[in-house]
Amino acid sequence: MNINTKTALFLTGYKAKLFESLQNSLVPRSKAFTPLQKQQSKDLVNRLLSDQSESSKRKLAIFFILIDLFAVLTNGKTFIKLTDEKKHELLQTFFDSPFSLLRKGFWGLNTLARMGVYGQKELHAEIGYRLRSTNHE
Amino acid sequence: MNSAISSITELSYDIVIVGSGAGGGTVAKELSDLCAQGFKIALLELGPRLKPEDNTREELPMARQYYFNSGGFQTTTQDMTLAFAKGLGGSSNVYTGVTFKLPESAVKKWNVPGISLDDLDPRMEKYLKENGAHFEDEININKNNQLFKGGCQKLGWHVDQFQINTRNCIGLGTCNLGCARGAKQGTAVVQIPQAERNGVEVITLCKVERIEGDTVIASVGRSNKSECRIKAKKIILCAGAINTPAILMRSFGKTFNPVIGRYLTLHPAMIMAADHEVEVNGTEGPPKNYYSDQFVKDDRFLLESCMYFPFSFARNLVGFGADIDELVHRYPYLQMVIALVLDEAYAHNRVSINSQGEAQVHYKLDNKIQQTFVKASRATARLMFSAGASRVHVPGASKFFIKSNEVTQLDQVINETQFKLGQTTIASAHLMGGCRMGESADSSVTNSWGKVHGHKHLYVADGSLFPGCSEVNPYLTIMALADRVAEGVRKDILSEQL
Repeated sequence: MNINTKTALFLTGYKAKLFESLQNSLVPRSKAFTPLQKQQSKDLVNRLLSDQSESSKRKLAIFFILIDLFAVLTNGKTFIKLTDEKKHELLQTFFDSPFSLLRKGFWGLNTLARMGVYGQKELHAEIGYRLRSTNHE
Repeated sequence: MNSAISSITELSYDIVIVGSGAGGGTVAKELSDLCAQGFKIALLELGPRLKPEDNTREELPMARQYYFNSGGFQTTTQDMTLAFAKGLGGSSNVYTGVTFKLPESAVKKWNVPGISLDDLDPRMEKYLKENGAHFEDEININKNNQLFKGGCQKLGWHVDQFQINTRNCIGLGTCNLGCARGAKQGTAVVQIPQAERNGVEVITLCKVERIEGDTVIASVGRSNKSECRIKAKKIILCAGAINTPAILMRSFGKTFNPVIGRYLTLHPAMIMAADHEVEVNGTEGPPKNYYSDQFVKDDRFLLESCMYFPFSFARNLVGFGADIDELVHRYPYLQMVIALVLDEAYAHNRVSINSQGEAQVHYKLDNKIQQTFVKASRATARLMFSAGASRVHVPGASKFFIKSNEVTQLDQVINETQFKLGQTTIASAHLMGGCRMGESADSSVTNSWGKVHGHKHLYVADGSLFPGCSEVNPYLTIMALADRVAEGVRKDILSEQL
């Protein structure tokens, strides 16, 4: 996978772990990922983000911090350590927030999580998406 | 033909055309016969020359290859995503071939002296023929489209077929990712090859930074590092509704004209899905054939059949968790419909540039648009149930799935309090305005021939000319206006020769 190496990868270290945990809640299919699929998911997200502005990446990084901060304030634990039920509750708070800024931040994260799953062409057969042969008459 | 300029930093042409989509490709072809009279014409394109055989039809790689920001360019308020393309042929590579004539109602609203259907209709007819526009044979129309038509008919709604401009299409269904067969008759297939045969020089990977007097300043090559100064007697900007205003602002300042970048209209759109018990297989065959203008007059939205790829589809779903997976895994059974809001042109909806000179889009999804979306959600749910859906998923609903036994409660289940910006994916692929035509420099950027007010040598020939939305898919209108601009440029440059 050809990722722009001029900029640092976004999903590394703790951010990568947090994203994986968020993705598992947002798109549960990702829980059953093989190690290769997990890597592929991260690569897809990193590849997209490598072309985005520093400002966009900064906003996403702040949103990650906000999620963890909110998790600690409401549950005394970081997001990764919450139960599945608590994770869902917390994400619902962001999804349905009265503040549009939080909803939009959630939308961005949710979109990346979905891209990491359904952007993988290896999963397309599973969902029944088939490319018609170019030799079709 | 980057080799033509690899060792040269200064070039000179009679006519330079910036952008190669529906506008630029048309202008290049229409003016190309001037090459036989000794005129030198160059067509500049920011992206590369893309070949059908290099098109893998894979969703993410092709989105990255064909679209600005991989198709994810966001407005400043981050509640709408804009899809516009790069590469020789521009956005005419990636639309679904849907061919609509500009309706009289839109022309009347535009209210630009000189712009009438009498003037535009023959031009549109010319491109209908040139681009092989035709009504798809019934036998090639897939189930997704049949469901749309049948659903509308059962409800007594007006539904009609639109023409698509393809030749030798084998129904790969991946039109929005470019055509892997070269069947779609975009400018890279029809107009640009003709222009090149007539002598127009094409320079790809050429990013126009600004215009200084009679010189286009561009950076050329993948690294965008070698500067190229291209002198021209006539410069025609066809970089689209986002980039044409941005180039003008980078060149002459943000306020050189009071309406530069303003009155942007986008046909904000959302995609909805229905689950059927029978296979729909919407990816097989031409993706779009039918539309319903039942709600255009009173409610200002247009419904069209549509089909999207796994991730593009998934990102349109409202919510998160197991429901998302469940619906995506019903992919072969899904009917899809797109609703386009026919938005009003307001000065506050605009293109600007940031401190780096990059284009930014400011667009307010106001209450009226949100209310229209709710009406469109209800109408689409009715259409889908009428077509036999077992359950539907639409924005603005109080639940992820609405079941068929709830069809009588749609007005309660789908309502304005449930429709929240940031929860719903709203997108646009119809970018119009920003350099609107008109009579005076106080209220427009160009005259009705696309000539920029106050600039004898500078023209615009793309979707940015629209004073308001086109009410239909805009590519044919862009071509007709570009044809008109080319006619004006021809007259000007020939008269200046005398």
